[in-house]
Amino acid sequence: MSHDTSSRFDPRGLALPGLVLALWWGATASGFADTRIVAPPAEVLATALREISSGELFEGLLASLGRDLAGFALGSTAGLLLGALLAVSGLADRLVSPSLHALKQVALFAWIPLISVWLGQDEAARVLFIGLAAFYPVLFNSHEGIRSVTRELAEVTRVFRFNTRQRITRLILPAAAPQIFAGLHLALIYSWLATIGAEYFFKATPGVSTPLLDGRADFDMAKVLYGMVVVGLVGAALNAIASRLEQRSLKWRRSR
Amino acid sequence: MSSTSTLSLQGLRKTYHVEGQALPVLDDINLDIAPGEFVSIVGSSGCGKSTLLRLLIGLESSFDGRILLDGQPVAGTGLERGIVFQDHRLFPWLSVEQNIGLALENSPHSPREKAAAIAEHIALVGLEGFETAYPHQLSGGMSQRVAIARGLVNRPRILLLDEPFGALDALTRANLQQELQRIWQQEKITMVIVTHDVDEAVLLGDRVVVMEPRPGRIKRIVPVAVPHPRSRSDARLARIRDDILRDFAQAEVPRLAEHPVEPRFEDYAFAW
Repeated sequence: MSHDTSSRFDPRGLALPGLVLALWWGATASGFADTRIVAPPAEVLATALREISSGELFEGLLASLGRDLAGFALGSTAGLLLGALLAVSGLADRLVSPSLHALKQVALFAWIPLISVWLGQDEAARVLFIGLAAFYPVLFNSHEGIRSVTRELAEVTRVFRFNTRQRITRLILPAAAPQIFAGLHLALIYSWLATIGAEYFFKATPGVSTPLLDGRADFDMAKVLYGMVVVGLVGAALNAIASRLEQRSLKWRRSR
Repeated sequence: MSSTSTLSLQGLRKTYHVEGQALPVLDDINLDIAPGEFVSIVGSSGCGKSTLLRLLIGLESSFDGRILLDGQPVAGTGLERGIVFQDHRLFPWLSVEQNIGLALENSPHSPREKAAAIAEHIALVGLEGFETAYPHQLSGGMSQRVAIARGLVNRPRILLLDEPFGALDALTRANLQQELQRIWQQEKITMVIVTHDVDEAVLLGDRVVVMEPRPGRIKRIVPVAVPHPRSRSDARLARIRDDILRDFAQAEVPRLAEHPVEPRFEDYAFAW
């Protein structure tokens, strides 16, 4: 009844990647494709092994994940606190929400010039940029989630004479949890995207995008493809972890 | 029976203010409820019977008159009064036992005593084996049983029931009415049930308070001198029911629906 069919492994999903891999290999091995523009799979694999054995992969991952999580923590904490404030205070909601909705329309990357002027080109600027990406989804989702607490259940807590702390921990947070988790999940994905963006648009720094930048500069397509695979795999892993946590903490919900 | 109490309503009045206009919903309600008594309040919709219950539980404030529990004026909600709502109002993220435990959050008992009380009340409503089930896994009748257990687990001196079986199918409702009768006899607690179902009111109540609408008033109080446990096929109950139903037959005057009483904005905001 409550089994999530999407998490069950279905080998049919491998058919398309397998086909692409075969075509890729065939095209490069037969000389149909220019290997300077389309690096052969073996070369990408060799690059990967080289990066792993030299330790550069782990160094880059560590640096990128560090700034990703710092930005995510900063942005989602700010989003959660402000979202909660707007949900419980009608005055704050009316004062601030219209501006926030307007500000949301400023594309994330349009913030880069301003951030780099204010904070420079270094880690503080990158983390703020990532934080901004995580901020909005958590803000709007926690706002909605906390506001969705029904009057009926709030009355139950009055009947049982809950104090403020009990209301927050026993009613409001659990009731808003599905939406807060959805916001955090989105924020985790957005902040990873923003991490790549931050490494790209601010001063170059060690990270997962180093192979992408270097590969482009050296016209080393194997390195570029390797870099893309790493970025994609980390994103997928973060998404999987978030889904897993979300499902575990929301096991009371009826099957989706 | 020292654990039960007398509820006394004296000159109770409640008025809503809708768009600057005073809208009386309850007018001069006087009622004394004896310890351990089962009182049914019956009336058509709009007679203020649910508002009356909300006043008793303490969810509505600002009224005229007096509500006394054991001679003490009632102020706000209190653990000595329990309630069962029409919609079960279980917390969907909590299991059956956790939902019942919610009522004990502010009770002074030890965790061990609380666990014992929860188990005892799960047994009382016949839900052994469903302790760890979540609300979405329960039928409407089972959910309402949990709500009854939650209302009783604090051992309140009075249990208020606001159309508790109104949303259930006829068979489940009949079943739960018998169950409620058994629980009332077993717990020897004062109960007040609000309903629009005259059969239900007569089956359960020692007295049936018949209300009439606009503004909500007590039309008359009908004693039901039939010993418990009662059978719904009892001819004496049928006679009383027919007598009460005649009140409603006369009262049916066609009129347009009134503007519904919108809850005020403050009611939606968090009270803290």
